[in-house]
Amino acid sequence: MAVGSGTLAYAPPIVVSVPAVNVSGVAGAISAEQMMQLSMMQSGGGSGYSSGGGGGGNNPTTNWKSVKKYGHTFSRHGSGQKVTKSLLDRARSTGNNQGQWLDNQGAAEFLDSLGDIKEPITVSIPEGLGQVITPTGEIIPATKAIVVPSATGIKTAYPIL
Amino acid sequence: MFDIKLETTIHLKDIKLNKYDVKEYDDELDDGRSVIADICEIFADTEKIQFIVSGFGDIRWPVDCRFDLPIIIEQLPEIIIKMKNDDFNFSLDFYEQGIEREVIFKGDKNNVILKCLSRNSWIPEPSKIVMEKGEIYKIFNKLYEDFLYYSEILCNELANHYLFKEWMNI
Repeated sequence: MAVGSGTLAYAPPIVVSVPAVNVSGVAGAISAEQMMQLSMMQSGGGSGYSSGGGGGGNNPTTNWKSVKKYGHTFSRHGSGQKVTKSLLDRARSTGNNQGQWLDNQGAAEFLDSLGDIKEPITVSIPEGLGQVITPTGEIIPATKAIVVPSATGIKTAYPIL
Repeated sequence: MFDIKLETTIHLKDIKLNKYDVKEYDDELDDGRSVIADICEIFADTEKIQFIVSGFGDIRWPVDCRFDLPIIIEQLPEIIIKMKNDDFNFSLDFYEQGIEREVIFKGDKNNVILKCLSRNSWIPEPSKIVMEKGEIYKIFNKLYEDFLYYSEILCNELANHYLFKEWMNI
């Protein structure tokens, strides 16, 4: 039974500005097929933001494969063709934009640089680090990301427009 | 009324599975959440299992097995342990992109007050409801039991993985 109604006041995510780093210079919207190819290339070998691949990277303490630390960030929003396809399906079925990181190791290092987070926040991200897939299948470079922290790390983090 | 459940569109034992590989989990990097996510991926791939959530003015939340089910399942053991100790003060966070809703539960004698918070443009209407403790316990326990049962039938190897068992222990 209902005991109350109406909009509940809820603190909007805090916006944190982080200096942008030019990574790959992706500009404007491109097709899903083009981005799938780009995503495949980037998942294989890093982007210049880090040494990429296998969890090495510039920071030896950062390993994007850590579910303990990054939760579902990279299994659901990481780079690669398989993830792009599942995000395309998700965007179409839910009618919501879906964010995808283009360089897992670079994104993990970027997330580490944010320090200790206590509540969901919106942060500016370096150019080329992420993209957003729309319900119509359009793929657009992302400018920000939402980071949802957990008690021990991050529950999830995904790029947004 | 808030409800959350798993359903199949055909009999569970008639669901045909694509072959899947059980990956090697790393104790340093993985925990039960890794296995739960892989089980949910298998559920999603069958296209015969539905994760259904309703309440707060939305009779069918836009949730699915691949993205939303794992994040709810991973929260269940802690919630059930609390309820077994008659502690109905906890939250359930649907934190995946596009959903971004949190249900806060607060015990009050024989009832539980449920308050829904939205972190996006969706507005819960009503934003608060009251349910009996027994109802809440039954809903969560059924979801927990069904998830274990479905996992045993569809991906027994993962259901018996020690990381999964450790995480799901109540």
